[in-house]
Amino acid sequence: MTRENSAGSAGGESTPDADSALTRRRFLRGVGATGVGLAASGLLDVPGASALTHSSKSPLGGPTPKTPKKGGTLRIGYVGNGTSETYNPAVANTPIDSLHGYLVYDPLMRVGPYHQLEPGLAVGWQHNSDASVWEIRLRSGVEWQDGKKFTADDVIYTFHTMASPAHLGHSAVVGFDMHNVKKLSDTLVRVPLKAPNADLSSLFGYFNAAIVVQDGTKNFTKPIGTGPYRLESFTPGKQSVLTANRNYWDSPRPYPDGLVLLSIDDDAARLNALLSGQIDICALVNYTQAKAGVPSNYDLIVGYAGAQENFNMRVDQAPFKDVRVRQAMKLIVNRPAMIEAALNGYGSVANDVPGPGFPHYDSSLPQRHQDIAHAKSLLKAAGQSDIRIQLQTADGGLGQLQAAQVFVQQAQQAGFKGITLKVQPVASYYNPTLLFTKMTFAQNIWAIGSLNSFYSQALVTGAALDETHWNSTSFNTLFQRAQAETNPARAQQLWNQLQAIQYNQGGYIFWAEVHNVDAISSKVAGFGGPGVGWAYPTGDQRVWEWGFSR
Amino acid sequence: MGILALSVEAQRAASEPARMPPESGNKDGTAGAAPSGDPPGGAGRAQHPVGRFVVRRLAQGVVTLVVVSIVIFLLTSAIPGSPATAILGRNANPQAIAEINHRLGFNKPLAQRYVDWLGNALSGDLGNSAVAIAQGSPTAPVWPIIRSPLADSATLALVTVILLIPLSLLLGVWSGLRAGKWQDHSISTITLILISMPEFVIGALLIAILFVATNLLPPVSLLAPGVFPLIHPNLLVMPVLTLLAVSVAWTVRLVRVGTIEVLQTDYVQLARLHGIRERKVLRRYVLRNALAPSVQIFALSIQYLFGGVIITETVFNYPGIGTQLVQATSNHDNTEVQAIALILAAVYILINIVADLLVMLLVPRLRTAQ
Repeated sequence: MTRENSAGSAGGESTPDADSALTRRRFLRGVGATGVGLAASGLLDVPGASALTHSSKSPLGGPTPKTPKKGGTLRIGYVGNGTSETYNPAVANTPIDSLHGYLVYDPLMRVGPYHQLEPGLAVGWQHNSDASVWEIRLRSGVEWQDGKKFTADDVIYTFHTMASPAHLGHSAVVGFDMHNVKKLSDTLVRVPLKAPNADLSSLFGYFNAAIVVQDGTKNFTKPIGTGPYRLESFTPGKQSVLTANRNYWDSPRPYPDGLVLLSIDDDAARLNALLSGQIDICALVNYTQAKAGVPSNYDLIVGYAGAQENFNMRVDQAPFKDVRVRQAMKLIVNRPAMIEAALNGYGSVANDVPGPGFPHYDSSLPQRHQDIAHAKSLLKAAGQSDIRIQLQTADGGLGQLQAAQVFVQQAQQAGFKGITLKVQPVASYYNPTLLFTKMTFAQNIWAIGSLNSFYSQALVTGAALDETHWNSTSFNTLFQRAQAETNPARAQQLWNQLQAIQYNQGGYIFWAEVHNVDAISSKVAGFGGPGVGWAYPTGDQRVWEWGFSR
Repeated sequence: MGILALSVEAQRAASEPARMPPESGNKDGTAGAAPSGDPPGGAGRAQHPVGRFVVRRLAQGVVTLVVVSIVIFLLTSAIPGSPATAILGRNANPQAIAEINHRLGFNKPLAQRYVDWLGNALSGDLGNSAVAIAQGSPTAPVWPIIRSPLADSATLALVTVILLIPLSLLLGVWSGLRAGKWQDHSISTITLILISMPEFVIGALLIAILFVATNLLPPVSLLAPGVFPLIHPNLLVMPVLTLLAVSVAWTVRLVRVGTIEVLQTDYVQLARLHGIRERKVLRRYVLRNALAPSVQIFALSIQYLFGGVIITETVFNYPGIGTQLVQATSNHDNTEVQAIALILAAVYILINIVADLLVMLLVPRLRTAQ
């Protein structure tokens, strides 16, 4: 990602960068499972398709989207995943696989370019007074591509497949009282929960949990969906050929008559394919190439990639047992400089608590800046003026290693010569024993789907990815209250309290939200969301919006 | 580069060209005659040294392949991670990993898995893609997955070789004959430049010239699956040129050296002193003997071209077997890796045998001596 690759404005030199594609894939696969669920207001009742909002904006940069014309075959070049590519949403864990899902299937909830939820196959979510029982209203008049009617049975079957721990959407249904999930009518499902949750819909925008499969589906080699496209042929690692589903409920979408999705792993080759007219959209442009720009009849679209980068300190181990040491570390980081060096500038500054843009995120917290004098005084007070600590990391892609190097450099420039770096092999760092969660001072990248999912996976006692070993009973109680609170204003207050605790005392330093860059030919219009690239698993690959300019 | 099992004969031939031109057998009286230790009219097998050689080399090949298969199996099993961890990502929990490993039969002992795998492979069943099975597919035979990349790689290699051999011989011999003159210096300089440039630089240069500057050819070889590459020759041009540039530099230099060595031999001098016309000297004495060591060089080139051209495949997104192997490895698709590695090993061994055989046919001493 940071290597010197240039295909730039002249479309020119290509570099054999298979490894960067692999690294990116490795990273993307990694973050896939770490976030579950997109937060939204607990109550979203949209009476039918008329209330849909089609936010076709590119949030960070790119041309103004236009409504596409009908017709044509759209060709997209994408980072593939070799023969592991799949149309099975239970195991899909890379961007191309989630794209497969959105092409052929539909999600319960769609996700907009600013992480906001929109109705997909679910159009209403209503709960009882304490949010322990939910009724999900489904879109009516939807047909599967084989002509069968879409009903509550399909959704219930999908929930049951998610009950397997090997299903990557599993955590969304962990709180379900699965035996008592009931069909009330063809368009109404009743879901009792084991514990109250006022944020249920937010769990079903996240890709693996969102996608609804047909009742009884076991084999995904010839997928039948309700989605915008019908799969005609699929060669994993090479290409998918699809035709428009002209019976799609969200007519007039999809606009093109057909779509070809090509796996082109090499960054330079993918961009060259666009510049030579072999494809119309080049997803996932590498940052060096993006920096170099594209010729005039092409455009770059920049959007949120859905990944948040962090350093993490174990609060139960010295020297980070002392909150002043943790606060000092947060003040050592120069976030904009780190983004420039590690991500070529393609990131937004983060503020030590993750999830800007997501519901319940506390944007009133002051942005933390580098303050070496303050950091020094804190360390002095903690008796750690000569702090000796090793930051452990691995080259997990997306500037992770470079950021670690920048951190150590910034610390040493500030006079903390005892802060050093140890680079581990990726395979042992991110191994199944989750070594990276056991280190005193380490690094990770999160793709969070909601605050709810992040706090339950990282910060409550016994969390699967308990990197900071926070372990506080009062914090757990506060989290449960926030989760179950049905009054939005009170919920926000509780969430703010949680975030303030983490911001002031927590073991996390979040420094960036990563951007995604796609390149498109000027013939292309109507790309919704943050381009077509890398939104897995946060679910905003809005494939139904794409087409050709009028 | 692969499995290099140069036979003793071939190595000898490569390093020491036969002193006797084939059609002047009696002139220096060393070759052509039956070796003295061989009883006249001895065992029938002795009269068919080529046949015996082929049988022996094939047997050696089989043994090599078995050893290679063990190494492949052990190595793929030793790679950290598994299809289960690859699929489940960072969130892999022990329960889910166990479920997938059970589905893949990873709970059986390693030795038993090896025997099962080899047995199936020998009967033509290369197994199911481990990743696809782990992903829940009921069946996913490896062969249909790797068939098309194998064919694409073979096509790329073949087209390159068809151009490579005559070009290298022509330039190599010419350069050898003109040794020390400006033609030789020019060729040497150009080949030295080509040798110094990695494939991706040559690829990038070709893209810059043939696409960016002139827009003559597509910069990416987007071949639809199952489409035979020769149907779209324009997609083959840049990959072939890249590989040709990389390979021809080595082969030309080695053919040149071979030619110079042969030119300095006594029998060439003698032939010239006998007043044999230069053209005949070159054709009969020089070329044929210079060819023997070249055969091994070409064999190495073909082995490299068939499966070892990952970088070229990547630069042009050419759907070859090298990229397929890299992808399978990064995805922990053990069965696919094993199938591809085994097939490549077999091909490499076969190329070695064919090369040795060609050397033997070119150098009479080898097929007559014991």
